[in-house]
Amino acid sequence: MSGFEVSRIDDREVSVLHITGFLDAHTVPQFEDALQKLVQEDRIKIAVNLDKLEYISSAGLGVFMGFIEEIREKGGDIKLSNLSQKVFKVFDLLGFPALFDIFENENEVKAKFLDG
Amino acid sequence: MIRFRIPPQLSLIITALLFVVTFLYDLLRFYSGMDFGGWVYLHEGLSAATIFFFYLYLTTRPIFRETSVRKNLLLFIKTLALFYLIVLIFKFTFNPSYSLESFPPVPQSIPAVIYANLISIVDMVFMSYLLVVIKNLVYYKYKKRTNIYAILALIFVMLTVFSTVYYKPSSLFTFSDNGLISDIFMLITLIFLVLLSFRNSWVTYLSRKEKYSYFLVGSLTIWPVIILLDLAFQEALQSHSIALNTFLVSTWFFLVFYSSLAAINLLLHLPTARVFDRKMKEVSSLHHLSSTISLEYDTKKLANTIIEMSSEVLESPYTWLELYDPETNKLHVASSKNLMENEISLLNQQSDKNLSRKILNDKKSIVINELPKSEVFSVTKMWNHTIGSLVGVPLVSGKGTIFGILFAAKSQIFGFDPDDVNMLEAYANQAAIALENANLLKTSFEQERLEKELQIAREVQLRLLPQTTPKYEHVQIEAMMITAYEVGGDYYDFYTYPDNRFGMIIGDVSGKGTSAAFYMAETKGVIQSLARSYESPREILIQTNNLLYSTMDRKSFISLLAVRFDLENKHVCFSRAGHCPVVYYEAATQKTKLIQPPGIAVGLDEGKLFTDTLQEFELEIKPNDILAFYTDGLSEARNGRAEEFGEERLCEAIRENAHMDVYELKDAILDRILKFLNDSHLHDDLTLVLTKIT
Repeated sequence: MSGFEVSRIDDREVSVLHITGFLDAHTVPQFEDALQKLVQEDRIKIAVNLDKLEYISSAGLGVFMGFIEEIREKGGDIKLSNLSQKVFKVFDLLGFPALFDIFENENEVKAKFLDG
Repeated sequence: MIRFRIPPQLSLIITALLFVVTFLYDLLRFYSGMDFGGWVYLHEGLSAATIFFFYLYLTTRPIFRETSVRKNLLLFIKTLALFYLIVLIFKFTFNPSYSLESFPPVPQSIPAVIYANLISIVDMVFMSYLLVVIKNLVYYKYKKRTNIYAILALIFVMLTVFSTVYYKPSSLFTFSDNGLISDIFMLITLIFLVLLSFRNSWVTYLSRKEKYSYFLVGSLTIWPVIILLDLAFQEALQSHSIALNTFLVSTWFFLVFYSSLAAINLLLHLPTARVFDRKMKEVSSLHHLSSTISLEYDTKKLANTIIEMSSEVLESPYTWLELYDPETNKLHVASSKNLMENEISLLNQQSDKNLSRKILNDKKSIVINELPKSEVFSVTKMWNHTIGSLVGVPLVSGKGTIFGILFAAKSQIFGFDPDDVNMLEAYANQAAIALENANLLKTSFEQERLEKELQIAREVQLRLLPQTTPKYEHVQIEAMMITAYEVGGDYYDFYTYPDNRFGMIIGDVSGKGTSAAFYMAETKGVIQSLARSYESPREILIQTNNLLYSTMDRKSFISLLAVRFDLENKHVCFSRAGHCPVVYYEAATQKTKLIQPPGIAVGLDEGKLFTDTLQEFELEIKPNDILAFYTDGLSEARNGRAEEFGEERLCEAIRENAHMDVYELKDAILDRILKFLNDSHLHDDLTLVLTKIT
């Protein structure tokens, strides 16, 4: 239960966050810290790779909502990729695909950011 | 001891009376010069009886119950002094002489008779007082055999009295002729008196000062006690009553034995007096620590108290408490005495290889008695204060983990002996218990507060739900909600339209606890009032989103599904705002379908995107068709193997039991779910609303 990790790799203007494990109320602070840091550093082209994410709760979904307005106001965005079928279902039910760009893989996200 | 209920005044009167009678007898004997034969025994008996009655009188006096050693000893000295004074006055006044040709001695003048009687009274009274004081000291610490010895001593002294009265030996301990029997009895009496004299355990608990001063006074007092025999007893007393004399001489022996043995015991206790004092002080300070810290639940204040008291009892000027945080793997100073700011920060910044680490790893106390020579704990060398010796003891929790270290330091080297370390360890044990308790209490208060919060949220939630499932024509409705431990935010409701039309709403507020419950309450209110104005589920949800979006915090959202049933026209329509899909069982084909029209959850968008995405789905229904609405608490219910119940199992359960009415169908589905869970717990509220067209 409840192991969670977030790692960051910067590639030019894009910062890629890999999130691994279980994102729930307990581990949300870790994810929030990572996003907060990026915003403070003004790195607002954020790609989140959910390849190794096992589970996301409503609290986890709330994190994206919590940062997206500010980031988009600054001209940036959060784009998602590599969602597993299970995780995608959760996002899809709530209608997140209408709110966020969701891609198959990380490269597509980077391409989208770099194209502008 | 048998106690007669004779009033004290009566005992005193009887005593006085007895003395008067025996005095008259003595006078008669003096004047007549006759031998009264058997009457002597009566005289002796009455004289002896004076002791009995006077002792009885003393049992009612406060002195009989005096337990203070100091007061008893003081009384002893005062009584002895007064005794001496009075005897000397009488002796000087009367200047008596007695003929020693026969035994008992014969008074040779009236003053001698008077003196003999007076001295008998004085002897009897004062010796009785002294005897009571000794009794108090003997019974300071009760031991079973004491009573036996006392009774036996009493029996044998009585026997001695009888035999001396009968045989009239002229001197003691000749062990010959007429003195043999009484000497034997006397000897046995004395043996028991010696045994009783060993009962001086009150010596042990005196303070060092008391031991020294009492020894001095005691060794001086023995001499007057010894001299007492020649001074106050002997011929004068013997001429009045042999019985009284024998008894009081035995008492005198007792006084001598007791004083001597007490003095010896005091002497033997002198070398250890200092250490003993210290031990007593340690015990009482532990006691004090225990009672003080058991009342304190604030961790900071507790730490301060512990430091203060440790410092006091060890006489260590520099004392501090370090607490260990397992999450950061660091120690920090929680409380300190006489340490300066920079010294504390030096302690907090220490590297891994040092004394504290060693104590944490070894789980044992460490003493460094020559700190300047030691390489360990060199941080203190950077301090303003000079530290000569140091000791650190671990604080161990009930589970055996170390959560802190108690340190004490002195300026001089060799400041801590093994006793000090023991003391500090005893303190650390108490401290550990108290700190752990304070922590547990804090956690338990937190826990209680959270429980209370959940309870309120739960009550709000239950109140918002429909109390009964409404009845409409041509449709069976059954609703079920199983709440998880933490309030999940599930919600459903019904509202009626004219012409056998009704609406249903089902939803799930994100998050848990009281905030979810409050959003739910708000949603219910909004929808109930919107339902009066709008029939279109899509409209209702759009308006709901408009109203709620601005009041909700960014990170929260609500998934909702609004349905409208028109039973006359056999028509159902619904809109899904981010909620779970609808299960539709078509009786004609006996197949189930999951219907998931587009729509995002409420609270994610201020309006345009929400409206653009949300669609309304329409469905024609026929009798025996079943529509099932649920929340993700059902589809995501997990068993022990981390499998989710899922939509497929729900569909299956419906298909297999579609012939039943909704009430039985609900039970069948519930049964399926419970079997699947197999004792696992629900993490989220589980809601299911079944509708069957009839």
